[in-house]
This record gives sequence, C-alpha cells and structure tokens, in this order.
Amino acid sequence: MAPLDFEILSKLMRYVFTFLGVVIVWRSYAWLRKDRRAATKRLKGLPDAGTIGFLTVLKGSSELREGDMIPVPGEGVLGFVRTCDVVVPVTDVVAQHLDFTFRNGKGLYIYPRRGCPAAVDGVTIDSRADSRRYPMHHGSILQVGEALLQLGVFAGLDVEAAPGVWEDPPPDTPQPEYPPQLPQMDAYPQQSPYPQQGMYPPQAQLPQMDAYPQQSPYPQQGMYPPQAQLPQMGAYPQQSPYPQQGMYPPPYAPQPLTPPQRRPDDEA
Amino acid sequence: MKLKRDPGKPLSRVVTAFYFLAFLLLFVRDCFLYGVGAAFLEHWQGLALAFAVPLLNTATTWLLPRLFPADQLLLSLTNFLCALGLLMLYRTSPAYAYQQALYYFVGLVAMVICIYLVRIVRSFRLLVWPMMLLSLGLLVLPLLIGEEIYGATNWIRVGGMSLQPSEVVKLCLVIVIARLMADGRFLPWVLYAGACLGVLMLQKDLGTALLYFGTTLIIYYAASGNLFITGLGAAAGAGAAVAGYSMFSHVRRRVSVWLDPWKDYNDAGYQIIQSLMAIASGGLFGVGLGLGSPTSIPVYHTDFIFAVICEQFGLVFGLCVLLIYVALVWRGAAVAMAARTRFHALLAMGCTVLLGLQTFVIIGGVLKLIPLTGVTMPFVSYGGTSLVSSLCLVGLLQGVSSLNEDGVREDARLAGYSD
Repeated sequence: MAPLDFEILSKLMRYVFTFLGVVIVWRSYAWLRKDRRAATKRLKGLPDAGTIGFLTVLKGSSELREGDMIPVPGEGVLGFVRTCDVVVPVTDVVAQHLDFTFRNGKGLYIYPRRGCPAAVDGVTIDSRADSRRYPMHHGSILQVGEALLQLGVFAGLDVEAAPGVWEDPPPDTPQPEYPPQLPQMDAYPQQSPYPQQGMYPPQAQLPQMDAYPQQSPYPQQGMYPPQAQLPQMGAYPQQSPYPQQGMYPPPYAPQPLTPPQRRPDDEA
Repeated sequence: MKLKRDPGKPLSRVVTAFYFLAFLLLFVRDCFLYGVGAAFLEHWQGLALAFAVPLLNTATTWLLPRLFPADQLLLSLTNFLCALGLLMLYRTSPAYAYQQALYYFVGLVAMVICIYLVRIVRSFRLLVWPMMLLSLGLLVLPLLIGEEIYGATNWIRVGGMSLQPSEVVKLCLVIVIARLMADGRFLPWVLYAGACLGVLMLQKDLGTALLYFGTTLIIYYAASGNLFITGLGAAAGAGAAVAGYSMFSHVRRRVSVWLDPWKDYNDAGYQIIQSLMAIASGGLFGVGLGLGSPTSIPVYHTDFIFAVICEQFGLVFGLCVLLIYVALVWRGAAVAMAARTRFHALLAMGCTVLLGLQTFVIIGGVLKLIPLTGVTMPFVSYGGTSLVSSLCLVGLLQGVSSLNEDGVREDARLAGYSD
C-alpha cells in the first residue's frame, strides 16, 4: 500500500501526464501537417518529380487523343484501368498490359504480360530476353493495342536517342551560310535619285531606272537580294531534335500484333 | 528574417519531460516505500531510468538520423511507444523491463540493418525464393519442436530462449508478397500466402493468421485495384474463420467469451473482465502512476498491456496512445504513396498495414470490440521477438523513406530547384 503522501502526489501528477500525452499527440500531428505542407510545396516546385519523361500519343482513341502527353514514372504498369501508372484506354489494351522499368544509361525496359502483345520500334517483344535487348530510347515508339506512343525522356537522364531521332544533324549535312551574301556595292546608285535631298545642280544626271537594285539590299526590310543563296530545305534534319518542340512522327507503319508464345517473365 | 522552426524539437522536449517525470515518480514511490537510503542503494534503477530513457530517446531520435538515413518522425513515434512499454513493465515487474531494454537495443541495431538492407539490396528479386523457403521452414518448426501456450503451438525454445518464428516470418512475408505482387506473379503469391496460412491454422495461431491474411489481402488490393478478387478473398477468409470456429474448441471458447464474458467469470472470461475492470477503474485520468493493482490483470505484460496503460494513465491517455499509432500508420502510408518504385510502395504499405492491423487486433480484443487473439501490442508489449520484428518493420519503412528522399533530392538537382 502506497503512503498517503505519494498517493496525493501521484494523483496530482496524473493530470500532468495526461496533459503531456495530449501535447505529444498535438506535436506529432503538427509535425505531420508541416511535413505534408513542405511536400506539397516541393511538389509544386517539381511537378515532374518521380517521372522520367512523357509518352506522346501518336495514335490513340476518343479517350486518348493524338498529341496527349502521358507522364511516365520510373517504374510501373501500363494498362487500361485507372489504377495503372500509365493509363491507355484504347482497344486491345488489357487492364494491366505490361510492366516497365527505367534504367538510367540503358532506357525504358518493357515487360508485356502473358497474352498481351507489344512492340518497340516495330520489334515485337516476345520474351524477357527481348525486353532486355530492345529497351525504349528517347524517341522510340511503343505499340500497344491500337495505340502508338512515342517516348520522350527528360534532359539530364542518360539515354541515347532512338534511330531516326537526331540529337544533332549528321556530320555530313551541308550547313547553310548565315548571313546570306549581300549584293556588291557597285550595284548601288552613286547618287541619290531624289532631288529634294539636294541633288543640285539640275544638270546632274539622274540615274537610269535600270541602275536601281531590283530588291532592297537590307535584310531587315525582308527583301533578300535574289542572288542570295537560301539554304535548301533538304539540308535540314527531317525531324526536330528537340522533343519539347514537338516530335514529328517518322514514317511508321503499325504492324499487326500477335500475343507472345510464351510467358515473358519465365525466368528462374 | 523568420527562422524555420524544427518541428521535432518541441515533440522531443515533451517526450523527454514525460519519461523523466514518470520514472522519477516511480523512484519517489520507492523512496516512500523503502526509505530514501534504501531506495538509493537498492532501488536506484528508477532514478537511473529517469535519466537513461529520455537520454536514449533523444539520442536515437536526433543522433541516428545524422548517422543513418532515417525519418525523424517515425523514429520519434516508435521511440515513444518503446519507452512507454519500458515504463509500464518497470511499473509492473522491473525484471521484464530490464530484459525489454536489452531487446530494445537489439531492435534498434536490427532496424539500422533493415534500413541499409532496403537501400543496398533494393529489388530483393534474388532473395525471394530463399526467403520463401526459409519462412516456410521457420513456420513449420513449432509443429515439430514447439510447445503449446494458450492453445496455440507457436513457440520454440532455442538455447534457453523462447522464440516465436511467426514474428520473424512477418518480415519475410511482407518482402516476398511485395516483390511477387510488384512483378505480377500471382501464382507463387497465392501458393506462398496459402501455405503460410495453412501452417498457422495447423498451429492454431489464429491471431497471427488473421494478421497475415489481412496484410496479404490489402497488399493485393493496393497492387491490383481489383475489388472483385479482393472481395472474393475476404469472403474466403470469412469462410476460413467459420471453419476455424467449428474445428477448434479454443476458438469457439474465445468467441463465446467475447459475446458474454460474465457467463464464465472465474475461468474463460476472467482475463477480459479483469481488463475491462482495470480500464473502468482508471477512469478518464487514471488511478495515478504507481498506484492501483495492474498486476491483477492476467498476462498484463503482453496481451493486456493496453489495459495497464489505461488503468495507470486513464482513458484520455489511452486515446493519445491510439492516436500515436494512427500517426505512425499515416506516416507509413505517406511513405508508401511517395515511393518511387512499385516494389518499395508495396513494401512500405505492407509494413504499415501489418503494424496497424496488429494494433487494431490487440487493442480491439482488449476493449472487447473483437474476439481476443494472442498477438502483442507493437513496440509496447513485453517480448523480444515481437519488439525486434516490429522495429525491423519500421526499419524497412525507414529504408523506403530514405530512398524517397534520395529521389526527391535527385529530381531537385536535375531541375535546379531548391526550397
């Protein structure tokens, strides 16, 4: 039996302990709230946090229009249902169609699930070995169901571009000259043709109209001399090397997809 | 310029004050009971703990995150609950408290190992099959060399120490299930989960079986979003519960005690009635630390430790403890939501669900909300295996949290963003 003095002390202290317990809970939740606010703020500053790039829809459906850009996380599932990380509501895409994993320096590996055909840059992925052999690069085109999706990877991530998507023009591309050649000074009139500008004496011979330049030699007036060589359009790359400026679809013919013959994840 | 306040410091100060005052009060009680001289000479442990526990709490909360990549809030909440367990055990039977302190230290080391395991191993693909075999082997062991306690054969003795293999298997279960679900391998997942549950049914350890089943089902739902299959699984679980009720006599007994404990007050209903009476006698603010008779509650140091807390500190404080668990689950869910890979998200979700479900099952049982099952209250109940495995679960959670932080830091670097 505890002595009376201790009993009084303990009974008084129980209010202190209850108070401290409430304060501990209050402080914990304040901490949770503060962290959540900080995370929200950080998310606003980094809207693409956790994603490695976008899949641009080249061919979609009424729910997935051409030109739509779907953020791609570093790892996840692509499928029809909205719980998937990449939702592709297109005919012939099943609820969970394929898994994907990004490896920096390698590319985006896709692993189609059993009976779910998919192709990368025209190559059908039939097995896990195929998945490793044909990772998606910057500009690669993924075909799932009736959808065509082109991968664009953020700058800063170490991934090579897919064939046909140039980071820089090929080295043998003729470079256009800038600025274009200006006409020779001999082509200019030696005197001003305007009397009001003080061309006296009147016997001064006005220049013949033929002596005038056919076009203004001043590029800022938008009239290039006819002899200035404009670069040929063929000298430019066929596709923009900058994904953010819009990836032009290369001539790409979707192929009919067939389901893989064996389970892609049949590894030990 | 307004300085940013660290939200952890005010919490740490209050927790330190709480444990310092609580252990000091128990030392003062010893001074009243045995005299000041005898208390200092023979019962000095209370005074030592009054300094050691707050110091350990502060050190682990503030020092560990500087040495290892750890989430401070998770650490603070976990440490608060572990220290609460020490306090309650010291109040009821000091010998248990000293052992628990040792397990706490071992658990902290195991937690740090788990943090690094998640950070270094990352995918766990190669470890899945060995872990499956190891966990099934461990689960079968009690059937071969185990001993039956309270109707369940789930303990084995190793070198004079009792060990509950199902507590160790919890870790393997979460990792294996998360990995298999992340890879979309449903057949091995179903076979593995079914085998674990089958062995637990044979052991008659239905409390742990309920935890395993609930965790597996929730991870499945989180991974697939398939409500139909999840519903089918829940229906199958309900069917198994009915089968368990008709097959095992101790299950029928527990259900009848849950429905009407007063019918068999002196025998089967004794535990739950003592527990309810202790909670009622505590009232809103408790009988006072060091007063009352918490040892009259059966198994007060493990299953019914929540009743002891409510008796000593009152229902308001008991509610605070519940809210601390809710905060822990909330934080765990936030870690899972922010995870960068599917596997890490499912792993964090699994750890969180397991801890939350275990808390609900035991506190629900103590409060007569659901039938009582023999599981421990995470971090608080006496038991080395339970405490170490719970701290390992937090370690896995911390590992995922630290990987999330790494990812955000890398994103900020690439985007040239700073707070």
